[in-house]
This record gives sequence, structure tokens and C-alpha cells, in this order.
Amino acid sequence: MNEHSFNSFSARVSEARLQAHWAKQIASGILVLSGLLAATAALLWLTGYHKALSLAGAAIGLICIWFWLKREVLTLTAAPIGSTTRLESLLPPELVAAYRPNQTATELWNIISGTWQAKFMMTRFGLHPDVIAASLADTTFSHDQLWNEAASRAGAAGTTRLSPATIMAGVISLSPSLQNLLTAVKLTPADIDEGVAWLARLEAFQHAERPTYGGIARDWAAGFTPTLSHFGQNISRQVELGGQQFGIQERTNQLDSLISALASANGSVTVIGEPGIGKTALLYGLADRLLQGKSNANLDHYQIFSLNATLILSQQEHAGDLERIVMTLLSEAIHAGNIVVALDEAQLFFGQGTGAVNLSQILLPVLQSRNLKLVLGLTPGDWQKLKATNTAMTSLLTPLVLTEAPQAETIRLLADRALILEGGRFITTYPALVEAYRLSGRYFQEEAYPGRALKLLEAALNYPEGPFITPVSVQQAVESQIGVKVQTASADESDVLLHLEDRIHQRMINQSRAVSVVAAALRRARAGVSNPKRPIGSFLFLGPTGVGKTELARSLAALYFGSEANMIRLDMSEYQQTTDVTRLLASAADNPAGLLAKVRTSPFSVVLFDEIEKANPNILNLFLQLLDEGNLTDSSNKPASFKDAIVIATSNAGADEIRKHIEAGEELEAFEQKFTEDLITSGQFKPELLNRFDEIVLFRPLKPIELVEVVKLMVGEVNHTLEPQKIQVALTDAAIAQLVAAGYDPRLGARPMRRMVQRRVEDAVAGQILRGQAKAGDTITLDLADVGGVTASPSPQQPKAGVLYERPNDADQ
Amino acid sequence: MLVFGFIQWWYGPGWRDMANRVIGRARQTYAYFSISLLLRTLFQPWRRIMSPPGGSLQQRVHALADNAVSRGVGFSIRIIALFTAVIMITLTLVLGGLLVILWPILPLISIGLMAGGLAL
Repeated sequence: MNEHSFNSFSARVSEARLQAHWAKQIASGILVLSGLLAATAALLWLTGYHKALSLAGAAIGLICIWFWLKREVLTLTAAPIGSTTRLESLLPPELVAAYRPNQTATELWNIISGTWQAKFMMTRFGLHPDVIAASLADTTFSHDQLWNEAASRAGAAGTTRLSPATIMAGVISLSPSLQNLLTAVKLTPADIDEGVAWLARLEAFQHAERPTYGGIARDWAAGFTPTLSHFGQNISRQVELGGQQFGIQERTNQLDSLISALASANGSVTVIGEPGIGKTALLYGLADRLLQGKSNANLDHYQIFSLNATLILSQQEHAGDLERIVMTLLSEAIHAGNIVVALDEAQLFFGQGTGAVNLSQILLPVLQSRNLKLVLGLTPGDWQKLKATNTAMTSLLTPLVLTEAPQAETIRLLADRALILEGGRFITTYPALVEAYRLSGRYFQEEAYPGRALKLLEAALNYPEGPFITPVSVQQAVESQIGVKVQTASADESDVLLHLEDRIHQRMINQSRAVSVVAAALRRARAGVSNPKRPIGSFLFLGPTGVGKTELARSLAALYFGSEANMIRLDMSEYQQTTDVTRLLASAADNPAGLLAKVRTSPFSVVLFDEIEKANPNILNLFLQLLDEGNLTDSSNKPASFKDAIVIATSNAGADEIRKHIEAGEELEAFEQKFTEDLITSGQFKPELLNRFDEIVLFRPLKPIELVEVVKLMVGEVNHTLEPQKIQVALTDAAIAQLVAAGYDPRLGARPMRRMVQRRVEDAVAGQILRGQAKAGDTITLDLADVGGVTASPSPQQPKAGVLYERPNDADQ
Repeated sequence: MLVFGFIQWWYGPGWRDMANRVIGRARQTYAYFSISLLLRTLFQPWRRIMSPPGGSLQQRVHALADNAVSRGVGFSIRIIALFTAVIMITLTLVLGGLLVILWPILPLISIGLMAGGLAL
């Protein structure tokens, strides 16, 4: 038996049908007609035609019908869930007008999909009505099941009535194929519930009655505030004009605390929170509550003036100007008798921060007199500094600590603010909101939620995809702001990643195992397989000098991060003292060129810690946190993220051992496990440190034959340098062999080769150019005798026996 | 069905709705003029404009006169506002009340006038 009944002959069904068809136009027509009838009746009556009374009667009758259309038919709403089982009352009028109990799921959907609420949901979630209709073709749920499920979805979304959106959520919930469709676009039924709640908040806001804010006598009872109005922002006025009410964090408990602290004997409060946490939004909430006059009789209709610190501080032309302005402002506020003065960025008034001045000597007596209510906005760090330097002042301020908004609340705020930010130009999709939350949490750690997510969403408006703001828009905003790659790898980039080993080998010789280990780690990170809470990759490169450890790091910076400049390099031999820990963790304010400042500005970098074994043990302990959690906290307690960096540490520890093993003919894979254990046993590295690296990569010493390739690469670099002069240099095989023979040192690897190329090749070329023996278009061929210090002969053609080597072009990679 | 719906609404929710609207309009007017605040501050200086009393007798007399003017201005404006508010609320309640009282017979008046007019 059906749980719900539907009477298609009820008055409500007729009214719903009337609402769906021309009711607005009929109401307008009736109003005009009744006016005309009344006017005609009056004129005819005056001319003595008394039958005109019937026209007046008709006009009154039409007015009665107009009342009914306006107040009943056009405002039909669904009855609260549970109040009745009659569907004509329970369902939204749009559905009642076209409903038949024997309709299929697809037919029901076709009715719902035409409503603006369903269109809102579809555009916000990227769902197409035809796709949903097709998915419902083989669905077999009963109508009762649908209404019950829709009621359940309404409950989950916190609404009390069935609406096209809740019924749509019910349809999705009951259809396995639609569930699969949602999964394919990375959504869940819970997201749909959030969408229903989003729409319900919008509708509630649209239908909310405008609160009364005190009437005309309110301002007559308060003093004039011309200076405050010039230097401050009247937040209460903005609230009164209705510009800031939707999408403001509620913070009911914290508002209650703030109001009770303002009404207390002290009367002044410090709101403490990181930037972006909602200190200013709290002021808007406070202004709204005080204007409504329902919170505390002592604060009824008080107005909030937020002082613009920058504007005030810019007024100082002569000594004492600032003091005079601030005194005037405070006197005006006291005299007005209904002002709460808010000092956003209050640290600027207490001598903290760039361009700050110390006005505490003026503010202290005001606080002590308790004649004025002040709200100071400070970060936790600034509050601590103020407490340390000015106890007299902080003892007069009631601290109110704001906590960061949780994920669900932040996304709700983003959703509501998005509707305002869009301004009718764009449509922000729900996945874009989630992406803004996720990416701002990862890349904008200087600020707290919800501020950082809101900022990112605002930035995403500059990257619409057609009329839509999508996750890609948000990703593009992040990429343009901080240069981090967050979008799915493009086809070109995928090609680079898949052939990363080949690209790296264009720049460095051999070390195949090291290269393949690192390349695999990068592919995992870019495919989203690796742990996002740790660095993209962390490697300990072990091996003798001059075998390519630094070159591999440099290659990664160039190939993966776009330029060799994206490498942050620290020589750990400069961090051997305990006091160097402070230097390493210096904040950006204390050391703009420090490690953490650089990582914040260029999070997408190779961070190379050279000769790590020489660092102080306390610094090595910091590496445990860096490698485990992907961040370090600076001296001002702000985290710096290494989650988008490749962290590479190099060490020469055990270089002789590696050489011995290789000279004994062993392969790296055969002894690397034992080698690592030996490093721990010998006390060179702690096991907890080694275990935290993704890979410990051993570099083998280079053989003379490999140095031939190194020489070719170096000559390629010389040719690259000579490119602007259109002169090229080529070496014969004999010349290369000569250079290798002269430069080979098993202990120093390829390092002496660079000096050798400089001394013998570059010097020879320089001599040719200076003597005028080489001109643009020439190729200088160096033979055996030439690289032994003998001059070469220029050739306008291609080298006879030499081979021209080219440096790999970064742009191609 | 529409006729039945009209009658059901007119003599039920419609009548209640009209009575609530009249009361709501009167309340809005009361809130707009903030009558309780006008009464509380009736004799207070206009916009808190006050002269501080000086040391000499002449300064005190001047201050007293200034403050009396400020209070006079405040009283005048507030009393005008009060009268306006009272008139508007009275009008709202009388006219609205009349509409609420006549509400149930309005359709009948309409029918009666139409029939009566044609019979004349």
C-alpha cells in the first residue's frame, strides 16, 4: 500500500497548475482591469449612470481575486516533511502541477529538470539533464521510495521541505547508474547533500525579512563623527546597507563571548587569530548583532568603526601629527557615545611591523579610563610580543582567540561567497570550491582558513572555463600565483615524464640506476600516486666527488621544474655549529635569503643539501620532520612547505668503499644494502634519518670511457657559449682521448675534466679568436696536438676528422 | 476547484494573513520611528552637542544657554517625529482594521454591488 496519496482534483493541484501557467500575468492583468473598472464606475456614477455600481462591484471582486493570486497561488510552498501524507501538499508546486502517480522516473526527472533549483544543482555539479535522464531509463524505484529518500536527503542537508533539489538528490541516491556517474566526476552523494543545503541557504536569504536596525532616533541620540568617518570604515553602515550579510561565518559562540566582553567592565577586547581566520568577518557579525539591538542592552545600536592604520600612518608630516589625529579620533568616538573602535592590524599602532609607530601611550589612558570600547585585531605572534612589551595594556584587554574554520564550514562559506563574487558573470562549480579548499591549504600556508581559500577562489575568477569556474580555474590560479604545477600532466609533459631518463642522459653520463630511481619517483608524484603530505621525492645521493650527484639535481631542476634556477642549494659544511640551527630556521622577515624564505617563494624546486654529513646533528634531526611531514617551522612559528619540492642530500661518505666495490667488479645493486648498513654501523648516519629518504642512491665512479662522453658534453657547452659569435669547435677522437688521459683522476671523477677543457680547449679557441684566425661561420677543429697546447688551423668548412658536439637545448626538454 | 480554493483561502489563511500584515505594518512603523528610544531621549541634547561648563559664571551661563538650545532642538525634532509616528500607526491600524473587519463580506459586497447596480 502506498504511504502517500495524491488527489489530482484537489484545490491545491488546480492552484499549482495556475501558478505554473500565467498566474503572474493574470494577476497583473486583473490589477489593471480592476483599476480601469473602478475609474470607469466613478466617472459613470458622476454622470448619473447608476448602473455603474455593478462595475465597482466587479472591481472589488477582481481585487479579491488579485489578493488570492498574489498571496496564495503565487506563493504556494511545500508543506513541512512529516506534516501530511498528501502529496499535493508535500511536493513542491512545480511538481504538483505536472504530477501523475503512474509517471516513470524519467518522466518525473523531466519535470524536475525544468525548475531553476534543479538547473542550479546541475550547473554547480557539472551534470547534464539528458545524461541523468538516460541513466534513469532502467531505474525501477517506486514513487514512495523516492519521496522517502528525498525526505531523507532533505534531512541530511538540514532542510525541512521537499524541493526540486532534494528530489533530485533522492533520484541520484536511488539510482546506481547515477551514483557511478557521480563517482566518475569525483563526487559523492554527500556532496549533493551539500549542494541542496547551499541552495536552501540561498533561498532562505532571498526570502529573509530585512531586520530593523534601530530606526530614525538611533543616530539622533549619538554625536557626530566626521574625523572617524574620514579615517575609518563604518562597518555598521555597510551591514545596514545589506552588502555583507550573505556568506559571513556565523561564529555564534565567539560573537557571544565578544559581546559579553565588550559589555563587561574592561570593555575592550583583542581578537587573536592568524591572517585570514575571520577577524574582520567577526566585526561584521558583531555590527549586525549590535544594530539589531537584541544582544545586550548596554550595547544596543552601537556602531563599529574600523580604523584604517595605513591611512592614519600616512598622515604624519610633522612630529606629533599622528598623536593629534588619533587623539581626535578617540575623543570623537568617546563623545559619540555609541561607537566601538576596531583596530585591524593593531600591531601597526604598537610599533611592530614595517611602517609602524608606537601609540600605546595614547591608547593606554583610554583603555584605563574605560570610556571607549576597543576591539584590537592581532595575530598570535603579535599578541605575544605585545604581552612581552606592554603588560599594562594587555591586562586591560580581554583576549578572544579565534580558531580556524573546519573543512565543511569553509566550503559552505566559499559556496555562499561564490554567489556574490560571481556577480552574474560566472557559475562556480562545487568541485571548484573543494579544489580551492584543498589547494589553498597546501600552497597558502601563510594564512588560515577560510581566508586563504576565499582568496584563491577570487583569483580563480580570472581563469574561467567558458562561463564556469572549475577545478582547472583554481589550479590555473595557483600555478600563476606561485608557479606550482598542480594540473594533470599535459600530453607534452607526460611525454617528458615517460622519457625522463633519456632527457637526463642527454645531460649526464651513466649513473643509470640513480637516474631511473629519481625518474620513477617523479612519475609517481605527477600521477598523484605518492604521499602528498611529504616532499615529491627525497633522495640521499652517495658517491665520490665528480660523478654527477649535483649534475643530476641540476638536471631535475631544469627538466622537471623548468629551469636550473629552480634549485635551492645549501652547503651543509656551513651549518656545523649548534647555533646554525637558528640560521637555518630564520623567518623570511629575519633572513629573506634563508632556506625557508626561498622555499616559500619557490616551493616547486630542487632543494639540495650538499655534504650533509658535515651538518650539525641538531640540523640532521630537523631533517626527520622535513622528510616525514614535508614542512619546517620557522622562528616566527610559521610553517614552510617542502611538499612540492624534491629534497636531495648528497654525501661523500663511503666513497672509497664504493670505489673498491666497483673496482672489484661488483654491481651497485649487489652491495648497496650492505653499504647502507655499514654507514649506520660506522655511526656516519643515524638509521632513523636514512630510513626517511625515499631512496638512497649510490653513484659509481666514472670510467675513462665514460669520461669521453663527459668531454663531449663539455665541448657542447663551449659551443653553446660560442653560439652568439657563430663560431663552433670540434674535437677529433684523438684529441678527446688526449684530454681524458690528461684529466682522469679516479678520486675526483669528472671534476678535473672541466679544468682540462677550460685549459686546453677554451684557451685554444680564445687564442684563435683573438688572433683573428676564426671568424663567424668558422668551425675550429682541434686535433691531438692542439689540445696538447699547440695552435690549430681554422677551417671554413666542416671538420675533417673532428666531430661537432652540441649542448642539449633546455627549451627542447 | 479554483473557486473552492479561493473561498477556502479567503475565509481561512487569507483573513489571518491580512490581520497579521496590518499588525506587522504597524510594528514596522513603530520600529522605523523607534518610539521607545524617542521617548527615552526626548529631552536629551541634539546629537550630544553640549558645551562644557567653564570656570567663570559667564562661561557657565553661556554653557547652560547653549545646552538648553541643544536640548530644545532635540525635543522639537523628537516630538515632531513622535506625533508623525503616532498618526501613521493610528492610520495603519484604523484603515487596516477596517479592511480586516470588512474582509469576510468583501466578496459579498462585490456580488451585491454587481447585482444591485444592474437592478437600478
